Amino acid sequence: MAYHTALYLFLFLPAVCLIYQLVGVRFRPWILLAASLVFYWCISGTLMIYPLVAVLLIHDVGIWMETAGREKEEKQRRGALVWGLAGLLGILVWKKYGSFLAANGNRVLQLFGMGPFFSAVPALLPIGISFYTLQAVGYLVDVWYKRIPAERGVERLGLFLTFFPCIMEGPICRYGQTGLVLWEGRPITWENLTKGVQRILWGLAKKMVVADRLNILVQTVYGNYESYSGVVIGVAACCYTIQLYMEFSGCMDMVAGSGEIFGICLPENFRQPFFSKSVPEFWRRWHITLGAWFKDYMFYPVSMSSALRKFGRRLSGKGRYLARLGVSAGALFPVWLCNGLWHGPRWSFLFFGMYYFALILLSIGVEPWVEKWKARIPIVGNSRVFAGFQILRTWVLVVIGELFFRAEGLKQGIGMFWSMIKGWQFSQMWDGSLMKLGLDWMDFLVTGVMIGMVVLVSILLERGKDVRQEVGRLPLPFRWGVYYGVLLGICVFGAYGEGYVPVDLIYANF
Amino acid sequence: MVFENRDRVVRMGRMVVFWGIFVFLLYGGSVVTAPKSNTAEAGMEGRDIPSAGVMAEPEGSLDVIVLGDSESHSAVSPMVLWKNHGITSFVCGQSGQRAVEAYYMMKKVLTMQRPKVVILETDLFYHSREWQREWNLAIERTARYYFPMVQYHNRWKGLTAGDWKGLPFEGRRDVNKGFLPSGDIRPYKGGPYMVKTEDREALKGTVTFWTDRLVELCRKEGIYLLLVGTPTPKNWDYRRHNGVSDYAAKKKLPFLDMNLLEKELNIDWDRDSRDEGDHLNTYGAEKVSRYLGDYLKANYGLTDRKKEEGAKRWWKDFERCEKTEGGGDSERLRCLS
Repeated sequence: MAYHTALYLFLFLPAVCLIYQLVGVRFRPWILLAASLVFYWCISGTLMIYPLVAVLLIHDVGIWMETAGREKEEKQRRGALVWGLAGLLGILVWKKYGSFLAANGNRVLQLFGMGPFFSAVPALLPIGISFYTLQAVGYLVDVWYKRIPAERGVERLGLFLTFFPCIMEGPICRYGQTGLVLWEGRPITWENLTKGVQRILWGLAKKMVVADRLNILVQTVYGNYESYSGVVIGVAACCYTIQLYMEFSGCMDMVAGSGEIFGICLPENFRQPFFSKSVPEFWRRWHITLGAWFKDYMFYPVSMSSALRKFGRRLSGKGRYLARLGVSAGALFPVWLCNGLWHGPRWSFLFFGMYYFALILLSIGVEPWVEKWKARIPIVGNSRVFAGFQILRTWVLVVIGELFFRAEGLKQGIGMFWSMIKGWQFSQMWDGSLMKLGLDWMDFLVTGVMIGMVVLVSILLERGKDVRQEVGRLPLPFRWGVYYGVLLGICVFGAYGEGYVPVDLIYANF
Repeated sequence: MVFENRDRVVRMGRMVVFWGIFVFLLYGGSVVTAPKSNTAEAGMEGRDIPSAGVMAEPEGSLDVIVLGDSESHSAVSPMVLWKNHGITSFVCGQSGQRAVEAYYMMKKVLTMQRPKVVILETDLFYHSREWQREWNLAIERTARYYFPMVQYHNRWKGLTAGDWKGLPFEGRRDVNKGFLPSGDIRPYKGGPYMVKTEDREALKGTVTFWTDRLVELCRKEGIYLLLVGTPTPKNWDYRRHNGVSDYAAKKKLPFLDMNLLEKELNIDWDRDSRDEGDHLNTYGAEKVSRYLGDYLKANYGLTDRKKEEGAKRWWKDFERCEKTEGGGDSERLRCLS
């Protein structure tokens, strides 16, 4: 029952809205909790036990830490935190990375002539385990740092971790942001309902018109990558990047829209990432809540750790530049290692994380020279052409990263990258090669128009305009024209039904 | 307060108008995108082409409608029923037809025909995947029924002037009347498959929900609904027989399980299957259809229509059909007149 399915859009969500609105205010959060548990059960069945265990764990550990803070020693508080984190992360590692670790452990043992000892059968993964685990860890750390008080109501934590719009693909929420709002039982107002539905439709259009259509081309090339080279692989990597963005951001629109209906403002996960001038900026705009989580709960604690500070002090003897670079590398490495692995137990994801680690470290490394150069030639440094170059450069780097990200393994990623470089021929752009990948020119046209619309909306958002408000201000015939355009656009140009394979949400697998 | 109420009424009114216009647009879009004939060239999905031929039959001319999955269009030959019993019938089964599809197919058929008997082939009862997928499918099929644009939206790439004019559907008659003739022989070697047991394979809720609707629809229209299990060793066993028997008893429906009638039908598994017991071929279908014709005549009092006005057309179709007997899909599609 993913967010784009008929079951969710036409049965589950309307039914929840109806019941939610009919019952009294104090019962509303319970309806959301019940709906979330039903939603989870529908997708993962008995695996629902895992988020429930996480809820009980953070509830008890949170109270334990708070009580210990008042009455007992700091050591016990720390002990509680460590046990809590070990429990949460232990389950995550066991369920998600167990088979990967076992398979690689066996490989290492075989190098020494020892037989495979570990069973590498992948475990059934509870949906959203990577998302709710990070939320749960964030909650415990926030209670540890006394940013928030420990929550006494287990049901409130239950709703926070399993809230149905967020459980599959995030955003990764903080208890301080959404935990309490979820339990307010705000009424469904006319404004929230229309805004929520608008946002859901916009997300649906992005997924169904662009992402699911491009999936055909991406699937064709990645599924048989040995047969393609050069431009075709480059185009497939570009299309995958667009597909991923349209799908993930579209899903986030559906998630945010679902939350908006209940008066719950969920954190944004995207802020026009393709306007970024650098890779670090890209990651501040792409999957924002994941980046922010790693920054707050990993980067800062590691940066402030005594070991890294000691390391920095030792390096400072060799110059400020080296010390800065060394400390940055020390703090960034675990962040990007975990970022890569967070996406799944695969070497290509690990490579993906290390790729961005290298790029970001490089950008920190060359920063002094770039700044110097920009100061010397300010006309060029501050020009639009240079900004355009920076954006284009970021696109290229991101597309290369996504090429590896989509590959079934590191071997495929390297193979595709190499054959893209080796076989690059511009003639492939117009010799008809691109028309043999499952999409015809009309598909490209529809995709292009929809992308154009998304770009237009992104420009308006970038300029600080509230697009929905702007549309809402239009005279009624134009306003309705826009709404009908989106609705009929989905119905007519959506990639569903005969000739299309239903595409599952990509990030739901992470 | 008065203003608040007025605001609310205005908003509700606007919402009704907005969605009303949208429904109208969907309807208009459906008129444009729906195929204007039951051919691949007209844009109809291959799976729907044979069953859509029913819409080309003269109004009120059919006595029996057969619904079901591929077993139905492999096992029941309307031309055999015609030749031997003078029964006019049409197979509206589709590959992998679901109960929801059978229900909407029946609703569609009822716009043109008033059959006396509807046969529901029971392999359809076990064509069900995980319930959420089935419900998604059910919602989509419902939308397809009311707004064909949902099914044929992808035709926007090849719309013709005729589509834009909204020309009415001009169906081409299928001389096989929805039956899929196949002369292929691939024997079934698995031996007896109907071993008596008290175990039963229960029907899924998504199946019974729509079958119940179909039962109600038939009762409302005064149509007899007959459950028929055609011989299919690969898909059938006694547990399934028991499961369907329970449902039939609950709904007070007759259930004719031909899987138990191998001897009566004289089924020869060395000759009568086209794919190792999954589906019957033309030889098997002839045996099943003869038996079914006798059963229908004996139990439902269907009259011989051979002397009626429309018989000429049926004999003409019969002649063309005989020429193509045993032909495959392509041969069959050429038989659309």
